[in-house]
Amino acid sequence: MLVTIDQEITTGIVDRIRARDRNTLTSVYKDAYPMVEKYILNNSGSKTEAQDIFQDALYVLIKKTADKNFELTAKVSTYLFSVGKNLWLKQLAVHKIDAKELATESEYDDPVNEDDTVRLSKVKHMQACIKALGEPCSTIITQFYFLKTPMKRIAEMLHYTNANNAKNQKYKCFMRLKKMVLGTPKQS
Amino acid sequence: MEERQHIALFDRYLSGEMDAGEKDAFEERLAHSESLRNELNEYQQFSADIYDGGEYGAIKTELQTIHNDLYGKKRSKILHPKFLIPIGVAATIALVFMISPWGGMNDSSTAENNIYEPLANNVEDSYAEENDDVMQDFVTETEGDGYLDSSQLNSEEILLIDSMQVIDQSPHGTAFLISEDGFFLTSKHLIEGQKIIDLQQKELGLTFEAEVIYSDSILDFAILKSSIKTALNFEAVPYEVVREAPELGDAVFTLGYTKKDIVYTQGVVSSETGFESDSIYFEVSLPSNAGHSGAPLFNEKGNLIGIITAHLSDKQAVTYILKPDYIQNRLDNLSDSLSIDLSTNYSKRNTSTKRLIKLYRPFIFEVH
Repeated sequence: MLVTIDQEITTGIVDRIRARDRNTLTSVYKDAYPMVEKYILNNSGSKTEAQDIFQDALYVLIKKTADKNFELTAKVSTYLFSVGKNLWLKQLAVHKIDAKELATESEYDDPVNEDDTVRLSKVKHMQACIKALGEPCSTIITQFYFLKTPMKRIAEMLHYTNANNAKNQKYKCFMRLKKMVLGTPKQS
Repeated sequence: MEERQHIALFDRYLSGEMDAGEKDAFEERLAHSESLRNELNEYQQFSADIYDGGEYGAIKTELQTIHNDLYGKKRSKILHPKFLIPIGVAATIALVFMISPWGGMNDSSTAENNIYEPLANNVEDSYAEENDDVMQDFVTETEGDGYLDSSQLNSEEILLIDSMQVIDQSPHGTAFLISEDGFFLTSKHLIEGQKIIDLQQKELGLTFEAEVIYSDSILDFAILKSSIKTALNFEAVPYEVVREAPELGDAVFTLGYTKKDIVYTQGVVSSETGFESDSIYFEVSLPSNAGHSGAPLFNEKGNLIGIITAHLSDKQAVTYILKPDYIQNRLDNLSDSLSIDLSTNYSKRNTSTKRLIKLYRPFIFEVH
């Protein structure tokens, strides 16, 4: 059976994206970002928004590659352009701005479904809330729940005199975060 | 109150801190109480959501770094420093770094006079071996047009190990944090010829690898960077680099690793110039030892006023310090292209040295 070089490259790239290999991510970024930026700039967006949307698209792809059965059905740049475009159109819709009909280079469409978008807005909201907690809460929460640092070590890092004080502080931070996440409306 | 106790219990259960008996008892309770089971599920779900949020933040930071690397502003300009050092001076420094400034005298034990000694531990052998080569390189490197060139910026990505076994040895020298994003300053002679350096901060419980991302061709000065994951452990740096030249008589102190543990040493500014009136350095009367290389020097107010570089071999109280304006200039020139966030949580304060030491300790790292 003939396997084209293109396919081989595409197969390998999923693994490398999954591993978050820095060189791969950099070259993917370099290939795909300009298209997405151009699209968003031509469509009532700013450079900052373009960066945010593109990085979200890349995040979605990274997360999708966690599924071992995930297959890329297009070139990475085409894929990212399509995801970025869809994310941006959704954002425009929320702000009730009509998108200009722009000719796109490819017919490839919609690799993101509703679930992906909901999940993305959920993690974005969570991340914003963790940040909004301020110090020392963001550090404590990130260290404990993301980096899985033991409480005893967190207590040392933040110079708590004993681990119990740190645990109490963590509890307060946790409750604040919970309140914030559940209480504030999610952004688009 | 009950929820607090439950969460403490869940944490112990989920992290496997419970001993067998406690675990059995807890599982027994779970089996009998649906509400406790629900509470645990809900807690696990929310913990997972926090993890996802944290991961999203980490990936975003990583991608933003890539973005800045690719499209960072003013990239081409930055590589040209705002100040230049005449070739003559550079050559003098080159000589100075060769330990033996008296020409041809390589063996330091035979020298009768004062010898300029970089303060790294075990530095002698590598220097003696490469003496001639290094010197050759050094001079040719600085000849050119005297500008920094882009090849000095190491853009290749290396996978760094975030968590290693504790190193129980005397460190070679000292490094200190200058950006909570994981950037460190140290002495170039400590890291010469290496790409990855092991750093350790026992108080933070961290032993990890850092990459040498910049090593200066003229100044004894290098920048290290840890991985983003490691950098999540750091807080905003509490000190700032001052620009004013140090004045004679200023009281100074340093924190460095002349042994396995951090050591506090105090001194006083004794001369505005360094070895043989070198204007890039100044002199302090401060007892220094091997391992002090790369250590930060602070004034009474707690401002960073230089990096410890070397001392005279037979007068250990004569220590040479890289001047702060040179450090600051280099950082200004490099901060955009390396995307170093130099924001600090420094505030003007009148506080005791003891408090400063306590505050600064976690920002000083062992170089291995």
